[in-house]
Amino acid sequence: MIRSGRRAASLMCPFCHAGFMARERVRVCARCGALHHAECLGIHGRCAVHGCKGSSTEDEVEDEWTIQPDDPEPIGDQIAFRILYAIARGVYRPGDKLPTVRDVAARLRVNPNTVSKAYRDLERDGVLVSRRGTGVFVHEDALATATERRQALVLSRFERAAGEALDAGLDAFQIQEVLAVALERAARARGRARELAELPLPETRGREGKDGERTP
Amino acid sequence: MSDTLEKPAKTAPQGERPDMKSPPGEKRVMEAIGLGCRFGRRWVVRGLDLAVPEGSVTALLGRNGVGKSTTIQMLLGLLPASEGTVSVLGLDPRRRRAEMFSRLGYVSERRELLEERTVSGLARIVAAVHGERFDRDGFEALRARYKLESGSRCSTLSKGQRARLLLSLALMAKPEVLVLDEPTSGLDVVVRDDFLEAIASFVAEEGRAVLLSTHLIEDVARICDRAVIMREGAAALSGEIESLRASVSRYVVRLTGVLPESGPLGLPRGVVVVERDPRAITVVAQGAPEHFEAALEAALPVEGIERRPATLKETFTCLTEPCTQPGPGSEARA
Amino acid sequence: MSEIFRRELRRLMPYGLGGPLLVLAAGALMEGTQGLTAGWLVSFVLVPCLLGVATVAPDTGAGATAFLARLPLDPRRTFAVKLAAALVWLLPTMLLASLLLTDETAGSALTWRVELRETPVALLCFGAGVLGSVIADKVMPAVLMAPLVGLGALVGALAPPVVVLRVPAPEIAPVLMLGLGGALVAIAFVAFTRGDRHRSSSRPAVIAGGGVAAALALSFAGTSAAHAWSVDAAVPGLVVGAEACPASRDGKTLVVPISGERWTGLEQRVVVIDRATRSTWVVPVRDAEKPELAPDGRSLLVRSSRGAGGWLVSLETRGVRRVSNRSLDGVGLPDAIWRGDGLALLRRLATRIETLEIDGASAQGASIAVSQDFHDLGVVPGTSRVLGWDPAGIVAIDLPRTGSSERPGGRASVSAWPSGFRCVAASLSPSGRFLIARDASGFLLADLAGGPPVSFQAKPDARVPGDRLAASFAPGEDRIALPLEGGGVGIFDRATGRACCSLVKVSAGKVRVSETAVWSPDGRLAAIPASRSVVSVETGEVRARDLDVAAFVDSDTVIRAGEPLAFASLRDGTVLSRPLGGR
Repeated sequence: MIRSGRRAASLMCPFCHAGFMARERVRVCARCGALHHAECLGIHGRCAVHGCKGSSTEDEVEDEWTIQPDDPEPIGDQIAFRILYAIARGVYRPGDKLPTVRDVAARLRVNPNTVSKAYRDLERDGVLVSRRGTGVFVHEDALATATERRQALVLSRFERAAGEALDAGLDAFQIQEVLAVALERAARARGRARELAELPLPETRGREGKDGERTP
Repeated sequence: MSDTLEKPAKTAPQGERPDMKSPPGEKRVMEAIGLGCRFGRRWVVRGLDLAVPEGSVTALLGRNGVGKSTTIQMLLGLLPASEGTVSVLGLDPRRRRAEMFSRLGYVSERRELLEERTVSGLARIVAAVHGERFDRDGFEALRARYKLESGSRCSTLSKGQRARLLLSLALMAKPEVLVLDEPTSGLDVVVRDDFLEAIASFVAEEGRAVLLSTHLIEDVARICDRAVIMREGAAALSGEIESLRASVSRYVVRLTGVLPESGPLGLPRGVVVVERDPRAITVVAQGAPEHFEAALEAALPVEGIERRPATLKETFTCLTEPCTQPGPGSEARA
Repeated sequence: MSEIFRRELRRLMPYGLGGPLLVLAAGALMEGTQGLTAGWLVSFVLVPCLLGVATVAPDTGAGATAFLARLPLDPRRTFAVKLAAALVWLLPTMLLASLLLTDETAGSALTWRVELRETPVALLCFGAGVLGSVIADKVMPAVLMAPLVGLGALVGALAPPVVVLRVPAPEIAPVLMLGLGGALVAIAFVAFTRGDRHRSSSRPAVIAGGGVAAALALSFAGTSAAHAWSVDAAVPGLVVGAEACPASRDGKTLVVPISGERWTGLEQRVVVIDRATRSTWVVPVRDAEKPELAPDGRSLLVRSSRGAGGWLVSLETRGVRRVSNRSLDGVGLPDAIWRGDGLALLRRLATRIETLEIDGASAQGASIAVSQDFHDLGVVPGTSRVLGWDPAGIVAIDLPRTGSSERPGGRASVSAWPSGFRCVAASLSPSGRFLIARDASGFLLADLAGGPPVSFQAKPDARVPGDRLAASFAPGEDRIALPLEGGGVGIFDRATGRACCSLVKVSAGKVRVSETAVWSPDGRLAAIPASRSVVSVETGEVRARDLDVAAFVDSDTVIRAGEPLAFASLRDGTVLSRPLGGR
C-alpha cells in the first residue's frame, strides 16, 4: 500500500504539465497518489496519470483529512488518528512538512485550536516536531510510532466491532464473512477493489465453504 | 480521489506564524457582565455573563426565544442594555459603535443589504467606509470563489448568496472579531461549509475571535471550542465545549416493569428523557450519577443503569432544558 | 462618506426629478390660478414632504438602515448625509417653482420673494416628512404619518400665540413654520440617532413624540412668557382714557382703565390705585374694560372686551376669578348687584328683569315682570331693590330672592313726577339716595329719603341719547355735574339747585371728551375728562387750563387723559403724575 517514488512525480501536474505554485489548491489521486491542480482534476474529470483509473468523485472518497463531526470520538482525536494513518501510509514521510494549522482548520472546517491541539498531542507522542517559525514536520522516527499506533487503533476498533458482533450472537465464520463484505465495500468505495483482489484472502474461501454447509 | 491541502514544504508561505497555537489566553475581546434586556416589564435576557476570549470560537446556544439575537444586538450596541455592562475590544459599543464596527464584522440573521446596489457597488460603499482596511482584491477573489456576479443587484441574490456576500464584506474589512447571528440558518450545505471554512481560517490568525449563534449542533461540534448556553429562567452556562460535554452523561436505564406509552415519569429536575421504550429509557443528566440515581430508583422500577458519554446534541438538549433555578451542574461554569 | 452620499443621491433621484416634472405637469394641465395652486402645492408641500419621507423609511423597510448601522459610520453622519442628499434634490423643484409660480402681474423681481416666502412651508413639510420617516419603519405609514405630524405640530404651535396673544396667523405662521420645520428635523435627528432606527422599535416614535411635545411645550411656554411679559410690559405704554374712573365711595380706591394699540393688538387694562399710599396694582387680566367697584370697595368687577364674561377681582387678596357669562348672548356683563352674599347680575329684558347668580349653584336667579315703559336705573347699594322710572314716577322693585313673578308684584311707586315733568332720562346717585331726572326743559332731583324735590334752572343737553342721565355726583353728593345745552357741564348745588360754576368742553384731540365731570376726592375740584381745564367748585376759579384730567388722585395730583400713567416703578407702584398747576 505504500507507494514509493510518488513524491518525485508530484512536482508537476500530470494534466497541465505545470509546476505547483505556492498556495495553489492541489489534489492527490487516491489511487496512484499523483498530485494534480485541483482545477485540472476538475476539468479532466479523473486522474490524468496514464493507466490510472482514479475517479474524481470526491464525495465517496475518504482521505487523511476527513473527519466525522457527529462521531462520539472528539474531533481532535480524529485528526490525530488521520495524521497517524497518513504517516503510516507514507503520505507524509519523516521530515515532511505538515500543512499549517490554519489550512487544516480551513479545509476541515474545524476550529484551529482543535487542530493545533491534535498537533500538540502528536508532538508530545514524538510523531511530529515543530520548528518555530517554519512549521510542523514529521519526526524522523515517526514511521515506527505511527505504524505501531495505527495497528493498535485499528485493532481496538475491530475489537469493539467484533465484540458487538459476538454480543449479537454471530459466530466466528459469520464475523469473518461480514468482515470480508465490509472490506470489499470499503475498498470499492475508495476505488481500490483491484488492489484488494490481488491480495490473498483466505477468508473468502472459508466463507464459500461455510455457505455450502449452511445451505440445505 | 481525495483532498489534500497543499504541496508539502515548498508551498509554505513565508513568515507565517508558528503552527503550534498557544492556548487561548485570558484576554477577552468581548465581555458582558450582568447583561439584561427588558421589553416593557418582560425581561428577555437577565443577568447574563458572557466572555469571548481571544482566539476562540464561542457558540451562543439556546432554544428559540431565549434571547440569543437580543444578546448579540446588545453586545454590538444595536440595542441598549437595560442593565449590565458590555465591552467589545475594550470599547463601549453604545458610545463608540462606529469605531467598534470598524474592527468587528457582523453577519446578521436577517442578512440586510442595500437592495438597490449591485454586488460591486455595495462593496465599493463598504470599502469607502472602511477605507484602507478593506481588502478589495481579497474581496474580488472571494466574490469569484463564491460565484457572486459583480453586476447583479443585491435584491436578486438568493439567501445563500446574500449570506456569502455579507460574509465576504465582513471578512475583507479585516475585523478582529466576527459575530455571526444564525449565519447559516435555512442555507444549504455548501454555504454552511463556506462559513465554517471562513470561520476556521479567520480565527487562525492571531488575536481574533468569533461569536457564533446557531442552532446547528454539527457546526458547533466542528468549529466551536467554547459555548455559552442560554437557558430560560436561569443563569447561562459557559465553558469549553469539551468540559460542558463531559459534564453531561447519558444513562440507559433498564426497567423491571413496563412503562406506559406516555405520561409523566416523575423524574427529578435536570434529568431529560431522550428515548423512551416500554422496558428502558435513555436519559441525559448533568453531574455525577449519585446525584440522581436514588431519585431515579424512587421514580422507576430500575433494573440497571448504564452510563455512557453523551453526544453534543444530547448535551445541548440537557443543558438548554428550561429551569427556574441554576441547574445542579452549574459548577461546570467556567 | 462620499460613496454614501452618492448612493443617497442616486436613491432619491426619482423624487428629485419627479418633483419638477409634477410641477410642469400641474402648470401644463391646469389653467391659470388652478395651475398655480396645484404647482404651489406640489412644489412646496408634496415634494418636500415626499423627499423627507424618502430619507429613512424606504431604507428602514428594506433593511438598509440596519445595514448602514453596522458599518463603521456614526449614525449622526449617516443621517446628516441623508438630509443633505434630500435637500440637494429639493433644489430643482424649488428653483423651477420659483421660476414658474410667479403670477402674471409679478415681474422677475418677485421671483426670489415668492421663493423666500414659501421656504417656511417647504421646510415644515420637509421636516414633517423626515420625522414621519423616522417614526415609521415602512414607507406607507411614514407617508400617512407625515401630514399628521406636520399639521398637528403646526396647529399646536400656532394656536397659543394666535388665540392668546391674538397675533395675526399670517404674520406669525412663517416664523413658526421655519422654527417648527427646523425643530422637526432636529427631533428626527435625535430620534434616528438615539432611537436606533436600524431595528423595529417604538423608541424612535417615543423620542419623536417627546420631542414634538417638548417643541409644543416650548411654544406654549413662549406664549405664556410673552403673555405674562406683555401683561406687564405693555402697561407703561397704555394711555388713560377719557371715561370716568370709578372711585370707591369712601374715596380710598380709584380704578383707572388704560388702553392702547400694541403689537399684539388693542391692549386694555385696569389699574387699581390706592389714593392714600398712591400705590398701584395692574389687574393681571387683558382685554379688561368697564370696571365696576363694589360699594364696599373690596371687590371689582371687570368686564372683558372680548366676548362675554369678565373677572371678579378681590382687592384685598388680589385674587382674580373668572366670571363666565356664557348663558348671556355675548354682549358682556350687565349691571352688577353687589349683595352681602355675593354678586348677582341684573339683566333687563323687554318686559322683565332677571338676575343671574354668580356665586350660586344655578346660573338663573330670580326674575320679575316689569312694564314695557319701565326704565331701570340700578340697584340701591346693599339691597335687592331696583330703582327705575316710568312716565308716572319713580318706581322701586324689590327683586325676589328666588323664583319668578309674572305679575308685577313687589313693586312700589316711590313718588310721582311733579305735574308737567315728562322724564326723559334719569340717574341714581352712588349712594342710591338721590335720583336726578331731566325732561326737555330742566332737571329734577328727587330725594328718595323723603326730602322735597329740587328743580334746577338749566337747559339740558338734548343731544345726549339714552335714558340714563350723564350726571355725576360729587363724593359727598352735595353737588352734581350735569351736561348742559351747548356742550358745557354745569355744576349745581344739590340742596338748592343753584349753579356754582360751569365747565366748557375743549377737546385736545387726543381722546374723546367725556360727557360728564370727574371730582377730586374732597369734592372741591371738578373737571371734564380730557377737556383741558380744572375748576374749583367753591370759587369758580379755573385752577389749570392745560391739563387733560382723567381722574383726580387727590386735590394736587391728577391722572392725565391721553397719556400713560407715569409709574416710577411698577414694583413699588408709585403714581407720579404731574402735580396740579405745575407744568
